[in-house]
Amino acid sequence: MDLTTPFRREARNDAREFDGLVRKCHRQAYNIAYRLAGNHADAEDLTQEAFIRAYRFFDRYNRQMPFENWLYRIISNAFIDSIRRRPKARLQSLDQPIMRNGIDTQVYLELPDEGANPEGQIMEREIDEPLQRALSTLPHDFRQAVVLADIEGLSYEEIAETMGCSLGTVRSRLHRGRKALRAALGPGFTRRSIGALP
Amino acid sequence: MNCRRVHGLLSAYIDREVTGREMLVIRAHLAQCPDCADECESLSCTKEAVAALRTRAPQSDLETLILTRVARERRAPAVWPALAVASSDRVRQARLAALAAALAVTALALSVRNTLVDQADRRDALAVHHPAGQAGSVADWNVEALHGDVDRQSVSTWAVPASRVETLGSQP
Repeated sequence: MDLTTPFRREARNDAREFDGLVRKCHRQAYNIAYRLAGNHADAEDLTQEAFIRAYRFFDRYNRQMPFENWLYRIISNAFIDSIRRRPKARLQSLDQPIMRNGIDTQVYLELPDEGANPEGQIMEREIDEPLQRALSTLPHDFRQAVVLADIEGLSYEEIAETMGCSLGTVRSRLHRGRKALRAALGPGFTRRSIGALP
Repeated sequence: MNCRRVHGLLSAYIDREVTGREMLVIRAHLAQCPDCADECESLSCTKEAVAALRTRAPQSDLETLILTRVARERRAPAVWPALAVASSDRVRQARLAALAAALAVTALALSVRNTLVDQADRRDALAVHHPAGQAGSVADWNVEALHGDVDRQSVSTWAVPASRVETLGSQP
C-alpha cells in the first residue's frame, strides 16, 4: 500500500489552488507593492518574494480570511524586511540632479515613458508622479496604512489585522499619514488637480 | 467637542470609522466651524487623490515569473516530497496522526522492553539473595515480588515456606 498517495493528492490540490491564487491576485498584489516600493523593479521583486513566502507558509493560511488580506500582510512584512536589508540605500530625488563624488553632474533621473497617449502622460506627470513621490516620503507604516485604506479600501479592522496593530494605531497612522501626504503635495494640490485624474 | 478633538477624528470621520454619536457631534461641529470644515475638505481631497491613482500593471510577465519560482520551490525538497511541500490542514492532520501513531508504537515497545528487563532484574535479585538450594521457589516469589513492590532487602529476609522446602533439590 502506498501511504504517500493521499499526501500527493492533497499536495496536488494545494498546488492547483495556489497557482490559481497567483493568477487571480498577482496584479493587485503588484499594484500594492508598487505603491509601497515606489518603482517597478522593487515592486516586482517584492511581489515575487511575497508569493514565495505565501507558498512556503500556505498550510498556515486561514481560509476564513480573504487570501488578498493575508497576502497584503506578507507584502507589508516583505517590504519592511527589504527596507531593513538596505539601511544605507540612498534616495535619489527626481527633482535634483545626480551627484557623483559631491559634484553636480547636471543629469536628472527620468521615469520611463509608458504610453503613447499624451493625455495619459500629462496625468502621469501632473498627478501620479507627484503623489507617488509624496507617498514615498512617508514613514513606511504610515504609507502602508494609507495604501491599504485608500487604494485597497480595507476597513480599519482589516488594516489592524493586516498590520498586526490596534484599531487606535491604525486610526492614528492613517490620520498622520494623510496629513504628511498633504504637506508633501504642497498647497498647489487641490480638488481641481484630482479632477484631472482619469 | 473642541476643534483639537475634532481634528484628531477627521480621517476616521471621512472613512466612516467613528461611532454614530461621534459622527453626529463632528457633523454639527463642522457646520459651525469653517477652519475644521476646511481641514476636513483638505483631508478628504488627499484621500480621493490616493484612491484615484491608476492601477499599476507589471511591466514583465510577472505571472509566469512567479509561477516558475513557485514550481522551482515545489521541486526543491527531494527527500520526501509528500512531506516537504506546503499543504492543507487535512494533510497536516494526517501527518500528525501518523507521527502520533509512530510515537505510540515506540512508547509501547519501550514499555514492554522495560517490563521484561525489570522482571529479569528482580529474578536475578532473588537468585542472588537466596541459597542455591531454594531455587525451586524463586519463580513463585518472583510473581509476588513483581506485584507486591518488594525490594531486594525485603526479599533477602523472606523465610522459605515449609511446604516448598520439600521441593529443594528436585528443581534443575
